Amino acid sequence: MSIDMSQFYQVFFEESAEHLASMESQLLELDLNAPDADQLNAIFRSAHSIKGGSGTFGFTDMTEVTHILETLLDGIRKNEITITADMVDAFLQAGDVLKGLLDAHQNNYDSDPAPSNAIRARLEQLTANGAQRGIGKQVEPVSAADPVMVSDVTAHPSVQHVYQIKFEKSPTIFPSKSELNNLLEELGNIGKIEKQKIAAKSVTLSLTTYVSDEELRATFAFFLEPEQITITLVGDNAQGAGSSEDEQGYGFFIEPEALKSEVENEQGYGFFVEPESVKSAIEDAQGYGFFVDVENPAQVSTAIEVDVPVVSGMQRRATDKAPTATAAAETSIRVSVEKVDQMINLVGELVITQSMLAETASHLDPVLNEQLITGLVQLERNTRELQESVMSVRMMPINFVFSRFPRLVRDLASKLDKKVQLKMVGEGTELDKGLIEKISDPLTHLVRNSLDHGIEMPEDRVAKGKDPQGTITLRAAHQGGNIVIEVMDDGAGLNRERILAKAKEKGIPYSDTISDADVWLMIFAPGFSTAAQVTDVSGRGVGMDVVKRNIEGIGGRVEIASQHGQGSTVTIRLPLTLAILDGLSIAVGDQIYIVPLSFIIESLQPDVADVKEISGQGQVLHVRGEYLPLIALHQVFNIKPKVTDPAEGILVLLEAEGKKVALLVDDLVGQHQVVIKSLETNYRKVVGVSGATIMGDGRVAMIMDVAALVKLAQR
Amino acid sequence: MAKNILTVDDSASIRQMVAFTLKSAGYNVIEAVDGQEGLDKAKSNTAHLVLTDQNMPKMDGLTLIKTLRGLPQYKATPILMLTTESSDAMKAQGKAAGATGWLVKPFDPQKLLDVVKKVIG
Amino acid sequence: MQTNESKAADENSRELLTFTLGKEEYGIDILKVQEIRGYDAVTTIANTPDFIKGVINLRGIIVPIVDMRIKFHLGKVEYDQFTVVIILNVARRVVGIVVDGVSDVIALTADQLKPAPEFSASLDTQYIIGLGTVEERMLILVDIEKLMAGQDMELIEAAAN
Repeated sequence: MSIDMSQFYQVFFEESAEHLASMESQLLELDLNAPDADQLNAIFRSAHSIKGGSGTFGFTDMTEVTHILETLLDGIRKNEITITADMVDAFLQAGDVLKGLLDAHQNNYDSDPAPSNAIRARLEQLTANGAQRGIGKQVEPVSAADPVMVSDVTAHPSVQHVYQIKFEKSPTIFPSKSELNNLLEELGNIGKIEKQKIAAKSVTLSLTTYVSDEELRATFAFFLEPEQITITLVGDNAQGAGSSEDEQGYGFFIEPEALKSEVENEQGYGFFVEPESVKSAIEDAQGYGFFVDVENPAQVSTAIEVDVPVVSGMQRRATDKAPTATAAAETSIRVSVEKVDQMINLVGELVITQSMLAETASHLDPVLNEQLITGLVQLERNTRELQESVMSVRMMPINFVFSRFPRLVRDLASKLDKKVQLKMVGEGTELDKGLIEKISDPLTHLVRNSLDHGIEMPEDRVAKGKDPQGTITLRAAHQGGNIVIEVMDDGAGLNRERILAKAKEKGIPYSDTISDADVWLMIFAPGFSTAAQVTDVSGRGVGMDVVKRNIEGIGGRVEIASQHGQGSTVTIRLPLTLAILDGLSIAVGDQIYIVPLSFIIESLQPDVADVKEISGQGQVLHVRGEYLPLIALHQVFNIKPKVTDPAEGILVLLEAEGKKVALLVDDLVGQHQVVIKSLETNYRKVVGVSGATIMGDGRVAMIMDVAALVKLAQR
Repeated sequence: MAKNILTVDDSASIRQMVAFTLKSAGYNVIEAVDGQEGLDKAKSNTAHLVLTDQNMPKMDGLTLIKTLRGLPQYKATPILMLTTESSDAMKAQGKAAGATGWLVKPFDPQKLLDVVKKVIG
Repeated sequence: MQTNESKAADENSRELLTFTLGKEEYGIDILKVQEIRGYDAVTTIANTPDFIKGVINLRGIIVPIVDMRIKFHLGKVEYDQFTVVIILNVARRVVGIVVDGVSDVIALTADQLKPAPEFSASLDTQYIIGLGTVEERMLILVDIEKLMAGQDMELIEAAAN
């Protein structure tokens, strides 16, 4: 029978990718001074699994690399070889090579054999050196679950021993026949019993086995005192009985026929028999009426298979659990992203439909249509809950992004000759999958920046009285309806003078009394970089403004805080939900715009006296001691308005990025929850607009880009 | 009546390949991802044959075999260990743990079927 | 979709949707046409050229509408129950164009096709695939994909530098 193995390839690719990722993160966590045995075992298992799979599915290039990798790892976890930083580097390199080979197989191209050859040679060298240096450390690695190895380090000779055994027998030692049978069965498990003779006061037999003398005695220990046993090594079977079995790739400890006879001794009927006879044996057994609890005839019917003439007359203590119960605590399913996105779209449509119904119903007489209206309120609740639930499906822990940084920091710090440690807090904080993909690049840039420009060289740090090892901290947490991500370093901090000098050079105007916070914001200007040298890591000046744009593109905000000499913190704030927005709809002329509620402070009808004109700067609103720039929306969007005099219209006070403005509109229409639709899908980015939505009446309305509007007021 | 084979392996791709091969040949297949789950499923089902990998998280193959042998209903059930090498050390350990036999990985589907047939027909 | 070279090697005929714009009649690849609608409920986009009327809600998708009559300076335009919008699938987008009227769907054979003229009063010749004669009608075959994706239409943002 030929089976198409390629149907299993995809699963193999995915699980290998997971093993490689797990291997890498475990390697990075290893403490070389006191390596955790569980971690070593886990790393070994990852390599071992990849080897097994790649061998089975014919990816020999991967098998070759993993084989040597596994051998070295095995030596390390068995304490025969001491692990070194050099080896960890080699393991990480091996991981990279395997990733490359995996990718080549997955995407059907030929891979370059050079990296594989190189890493194999390196690993072989390390293995040879490591073995020479001899047995490992004094300290026994602590392990929670050591695999039970019967005879571990003591090497087994590839030879079978033949022992002549005699031991005493008495009612004290073996109160009944079953104890003796148990002992004989144990012996039978470890070897082949021959010439067995059970006499009145003793038992003699010859045992052919691989186990050592000590092992053998241990077997008896449960039953007999040492002096009650005599064991003589009679000879050795130099030929491993299994040599032909080695060739055929499988073998039996208990030959099916032999198993049959032993089992028959025990139970009175056989198990391993030729296929045809199995049927009849089963039938016999059934006719026998197999041994089931008489009180629980139900157990018979719940069992999946009723045959297997199992054990010696004992009650079939099937289980307490139902046959279908599994102990698996977690179950999860792999779902394609398209399916989830489709679900989210459909829920979005549902929200729109529901709000259309609500809009229609709002025109109805509430008394006459009480039931309908109550029903619609319920519908809104249901829809909101469904929407939250569906959005949560796409939520993933931010660790998916964070996980790449330990390796990145390690490699980059080493390249720059700096000592840096990475701390991560709140890696479990969840955010939408779409955001995860989009936040990855900006975060990478920020971390590289900290490494390159923030953290000083170890000597400089010591000169400043700091720990030569710098720290970069990645922190994520939920705050209100947002997720807050921080990249913090204890490096040199931002240099105010240098930034202002650069600003001057670039012709960016600033006042003399400019605050530190505003100075830091300057580095987000395009082409801005105060790096003395442009390294290939960062410093080309294209970074920070792209970071800011990327983050704002996903609806987020970015801020910097810094203390000269002490370090910097970049804070990113992102909305948790991408697609749904609470907004206020406002009217200007015959058009309707949506203002996201999160930016609205309040709305008011001003007194004439509070609206003032400042020459050269336009109108301002005086409110509670502050003066806010006044923006007429009809001017921004070139619409013919109903009112031009602020005192006759409505002012909506907005705040974005720390700045406040007063927006003049004709009217407030209402508050809605809207589904954000992209304008760019079929059109393009429009200035002042962050997206579009479909209102209850089916018309499209634009969602205002408040941040852009506020920036407009700065001019 | 179809036989149940319990296959225990932490590698999903190998498990699927084994399951597919055996199911195509008419056996029922029960899968488990590690020794612990293997034990649980062995208890809640009747397996006529157990195929188990060695290196698995939570409970490795040898421990599983030993534990199964301690259960009355699995005292005589054939258990084959899937192993990556056929060393004597492995054989001794396996035999001591109570395995019925071994099968070396990687194996091709036909060999798997041959061995299974030999054991339970 | 079709290069000039491949047109010759194409099958015997192509199916076109024909529409009128001003004095001319145009034909476009029927496969690019998603549907035909009336003109309704268009939401203006601020600060856009006059020929981009705004966007509509097409069963949940936001679709921009370009009035070709304005773009080609065909004089005063009206919007009423007879106004026709052709919804197109071009350049991986869904866009709508307002035209004077839609005529029919015809099949044009290779021998009915003449090469594009050197000059054209109405349309930049780079967008003209050729001229088709069907009975007494003269159709201007337009590469509607190239036209809508072109910078003139201002539908697609210029490539970022």
